[in-house]
Amino acid sequence: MNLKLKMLGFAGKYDSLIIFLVIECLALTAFSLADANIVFRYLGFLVSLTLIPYVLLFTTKKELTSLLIFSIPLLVVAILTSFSTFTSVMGYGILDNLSVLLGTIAFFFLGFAVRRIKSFKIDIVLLTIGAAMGLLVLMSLIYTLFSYGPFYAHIYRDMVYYYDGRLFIVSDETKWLLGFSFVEISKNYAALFGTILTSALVGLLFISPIKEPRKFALTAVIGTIGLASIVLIPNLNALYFLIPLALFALLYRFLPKREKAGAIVQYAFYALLGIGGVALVIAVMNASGVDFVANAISGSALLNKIFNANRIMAPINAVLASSLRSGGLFGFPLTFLDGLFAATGAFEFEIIKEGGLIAFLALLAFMILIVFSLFRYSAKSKDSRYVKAIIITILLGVLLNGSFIWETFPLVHGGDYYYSFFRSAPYLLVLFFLGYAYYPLRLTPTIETEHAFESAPVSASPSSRSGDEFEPREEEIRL
Amino acid sequence: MRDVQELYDGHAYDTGDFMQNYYPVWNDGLAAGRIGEVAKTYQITTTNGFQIESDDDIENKLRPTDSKNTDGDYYSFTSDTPHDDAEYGYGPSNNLIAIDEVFAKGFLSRLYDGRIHCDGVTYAQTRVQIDQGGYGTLFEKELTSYRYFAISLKGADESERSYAGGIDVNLDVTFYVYDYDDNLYIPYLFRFQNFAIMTNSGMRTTVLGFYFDLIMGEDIALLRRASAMSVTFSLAAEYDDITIDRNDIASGKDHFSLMLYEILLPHSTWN
Repeated sequence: MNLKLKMLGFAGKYDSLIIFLVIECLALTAFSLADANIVFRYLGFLVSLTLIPYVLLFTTKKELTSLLIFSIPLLVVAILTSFSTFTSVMGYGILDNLSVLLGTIAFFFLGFAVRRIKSFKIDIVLLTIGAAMGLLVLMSLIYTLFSYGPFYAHIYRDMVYYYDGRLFIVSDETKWLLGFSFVEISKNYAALFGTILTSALVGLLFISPIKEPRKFALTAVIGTIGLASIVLIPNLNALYFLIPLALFALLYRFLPKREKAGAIVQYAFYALLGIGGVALVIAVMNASGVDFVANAISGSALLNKIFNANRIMAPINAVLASSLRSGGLFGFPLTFLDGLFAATGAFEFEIIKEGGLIAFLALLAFMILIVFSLFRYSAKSKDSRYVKAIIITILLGVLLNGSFIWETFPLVHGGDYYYSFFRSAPYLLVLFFLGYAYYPLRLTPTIETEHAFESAPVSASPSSRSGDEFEPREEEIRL
Repeated sequence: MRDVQELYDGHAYDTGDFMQNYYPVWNDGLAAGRIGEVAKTYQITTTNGFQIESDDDIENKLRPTDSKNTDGDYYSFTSDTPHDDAEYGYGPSNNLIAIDEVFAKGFLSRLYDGRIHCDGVTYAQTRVQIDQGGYGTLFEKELTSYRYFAISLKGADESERSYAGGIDVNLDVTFYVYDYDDNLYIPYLFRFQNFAIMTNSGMRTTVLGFYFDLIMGEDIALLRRASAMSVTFSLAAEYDDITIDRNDIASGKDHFSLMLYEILLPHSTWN
């Protein structure tokens, strides 16, 4: 009892400070200040420790158990992307690897736990992340336009230039603020940030420019920076991936019978899951050299085209084969790929290289759980639709970009510098949003029940001392 | 829009056709009327200059401080993979890009990257092919201090014939110092006289060079603020079967060109 009182006292005394630290941590991560992801991961871990009392106070044992079961695949991913044959060969160092383990768990936990603070406003976090990342993207965009001019990827399409005695295609790159200097980076890498920012525009469908003019304006500015960073290059790949995001937003906003639509989407997801599962099993058997499967595929022109002879499957097969046939179950060095870096363009398959086959399966399991969790979050959470739409769009945008155009060697002039998705700043932000949007698969979270914060301490902030402070309601702010 | 000022449609001067690969570009700043009279001409001979074609030459023809790395080991002449062989290979340890990154920009960066031989893989992507008219370029910075100059090259013609003793050439390397009073580039000519260079030699190249203090003596300060350079050449003997004029089609002779691989100004500083 004493401990609970102490925790209540702590929670009441420091909630504003902890919210500030969480926002600061997320802002630094979104801005990628000094490209010091290792610092952000440890910072996230330290801040997450301060949130433990809130979780213990405002989460039931059932919820915690559910969360722990839900998090098992993520834990496996965290461990194996931190300590694997790949990370050992790459020589990241124990501190860096440990930061990946702690940071992966911490940012997911941050998202989950910070909701337990009564005065926490997700709107503020979204705008802060948007502002910080918007600053990064805007500075990079201005320098890009200064260096190449607008629409250069179209105007100078396929044209080359020489640097350091080597040839580069100008339309493939963009300028990027990395650390404290600008570098040339793959435009697809920058597009991930642009897509995250563009997701803010979705929010405009859910708020009124008259009732909330400042919030509307801020959201519009953040989104426009993101969209401009894609359009002014232009990066057509990234533009195509914005179409499904826009469709999702429009359906989410204007579809009249969302429950029915939700059911249809769920069934479609099950169907996709089934087809994807079968395809994956076939691909794994093909890559591992199971004779009758490999022969059947190579004997059929159509199957061969689908499973072997295309630019998507070729690198995936190379990665799978290295994992299954060359002793790379726990990841493997790039040299296994025989000169081919096997740029799968998909973080889901890059993890086979970086963490191994078990990490790959754990990631798939986690992604499936996430889909169910997000279904429930979008349908049942009391968050405003503005918040839900933006968060889901961000996650969808990262999924699309990360699954098709993720580049592990994005630095144009420093071609041998490996970028792991699982060590990147966007990954940390995604984990935060996943933790925040986590919704138990069978329960209703305590914080979303009617008496959620009945035992909550009186907050230091005047607004939370109002009479209806313990009434659950949509977390809306008015700027 | 400085990063799109020098773009090419494809692999520049790398067509697979010998006659199409000449790099004849003279920067507009070095156009006729913008260059003054040659202020001084220095003769480089096999006596006061040096010629390097092996590891032994590195040891014997360069001064001790220039032939060894910081560990006191002699540089390897053959190891020339840019960046990877830094501190080990002669080229990658002394190249201009390693001295100042401004040299990394543009087509001519291949002359400053440290690769002093034909790499046998990318061929035309590592070299600059010139005829007698050569090329002229401006630097983004001005030369402020300098110890010695070296240029890695070989001869090549359209035939596959072997030239056991090489081909004798005169090589003119000119540095230009801008005269702000007259708005002219003032040339200082360094003429390599009668050097036999490897020709049709596969991956192997010849490095020619000289020490500024030895050649210029008390004049050594004259090159301070040099901000442009050009390279031209002529044949030092009569050769019946080759011509160094890429426009000479009528004679029926094989076209002979210089393949430049590297321009080195080790230990130089730039401002």
